[in-house]
Amino acid sequence: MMDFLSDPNLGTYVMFYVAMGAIVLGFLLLILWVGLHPFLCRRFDKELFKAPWFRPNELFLYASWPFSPFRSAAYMLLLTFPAAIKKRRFKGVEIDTRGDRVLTFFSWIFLLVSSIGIFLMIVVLVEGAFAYVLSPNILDG
Amino acid sequence: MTMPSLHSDDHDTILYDVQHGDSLSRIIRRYHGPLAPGKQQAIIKRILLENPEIRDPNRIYPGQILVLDIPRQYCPIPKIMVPPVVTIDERAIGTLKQGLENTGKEQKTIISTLAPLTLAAASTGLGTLDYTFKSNAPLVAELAENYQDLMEKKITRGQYDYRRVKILKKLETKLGPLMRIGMGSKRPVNEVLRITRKKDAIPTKIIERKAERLLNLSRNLSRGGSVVLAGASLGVACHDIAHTDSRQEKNEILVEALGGIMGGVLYGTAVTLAIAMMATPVGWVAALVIAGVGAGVSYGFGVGARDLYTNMYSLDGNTIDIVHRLSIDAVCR
Repeated sequence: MMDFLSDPNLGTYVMFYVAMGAIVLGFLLLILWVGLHPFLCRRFDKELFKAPWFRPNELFLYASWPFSPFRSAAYMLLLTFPAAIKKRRFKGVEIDTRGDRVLTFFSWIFLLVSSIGIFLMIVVLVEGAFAYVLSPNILDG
Repeated sequence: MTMPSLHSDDHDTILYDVQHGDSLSRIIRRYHGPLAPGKQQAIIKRILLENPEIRDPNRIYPGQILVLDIPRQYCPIPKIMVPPVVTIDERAIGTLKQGLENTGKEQKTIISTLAPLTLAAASTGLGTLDYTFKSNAPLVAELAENYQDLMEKKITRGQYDYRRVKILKKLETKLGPLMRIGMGSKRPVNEVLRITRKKDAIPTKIIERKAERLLNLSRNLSRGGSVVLAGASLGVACHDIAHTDSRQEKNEILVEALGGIMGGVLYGTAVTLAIAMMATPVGWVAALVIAGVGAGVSYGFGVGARDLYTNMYSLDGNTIDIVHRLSIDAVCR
């Protein structure tokens, strides 16, 4: 264990697996989104996909691909952070989501995967930016 | 309980059965959402006008039936695994027109190209075509409405002819060289978009079919765009992998391609969640910034992932051969 930690290349190994982790989580995110979207829309479209919660141009744009995922993203936030989203998009909405346990569970998984994935991506980008800026070769052209 | 009854342009009129605990402001909030006090008062006045039996707006009773004007509700029917699509009917034309009227030209063009970058797919060209077809479908539908106005004697024959020529000219100018694809015919536009004189046929049938064609083209372009570009990106990577002998380079190409696409997906997810939560309209400047940052993040993550793989390879020449493990060699030959 100590040998591993004192390995001078530890940073490279860790960063490589961080980048690969972000790529794998990106795939997982796509699978989750494709799987959840139809179920979320079937559950909430009738009650929520209308004025005043969506503007006329949003109703037009979000009705079909490639913008339809915006709808399922809003519904996922409604299931996971109801108080927060009711202050912004779904102001004054009266909807009972206590029975939607499976959708809520997978929405949490989705948010967890996306948060970790985005965090890992930011780590790689920041590390890459630092490595580029601090690289001694940068002055040699 | 609500029962749809009458229709106006952008509102549905319903009959509302007052429930226990209902108040006028609560009912208004249910259908219109939270409103400024002035606007709410205006709606209450309209309700009082339409329901003269209400003497005091603070006193309504369970079981009382109210006539209410509520914003027209547009709810496409979602299908399993297929995102709902806009179909050509009166409601869709209305929604399309409304949506397009409320969106500036630049915004629409930028929005059409935003999807590819945020969702790591599609292209500017396809986005522009999508916009062209989508924005002209309502124009074709106007021809049918023009004819309806003539039939209902809202306009004279002269007005009808004038409007028709004007719409056709506008359509010809806007579609330009795409006219043949959009209309699906080599013939002049005034011959293609005509009123049917056949007995028992709906006179505006041909025009409606052409409007539907434009919408379908638009839908296929915007739907297919992302798949085409994601496919093209992987296709280029696959071609490069097949034409490279070095194991290290094959892996680097694969890691960069996957990193670029997944970086775009992760960035797109973050942007989507933020827009979904905030419900703030995205102007064309913001759309341009989001798209630009998205392109940068996607590219940067791809290059970063490739560099990390290269570093790993330089440490240990016998490092992970992802191309072999995922049998990419077998596919990309």
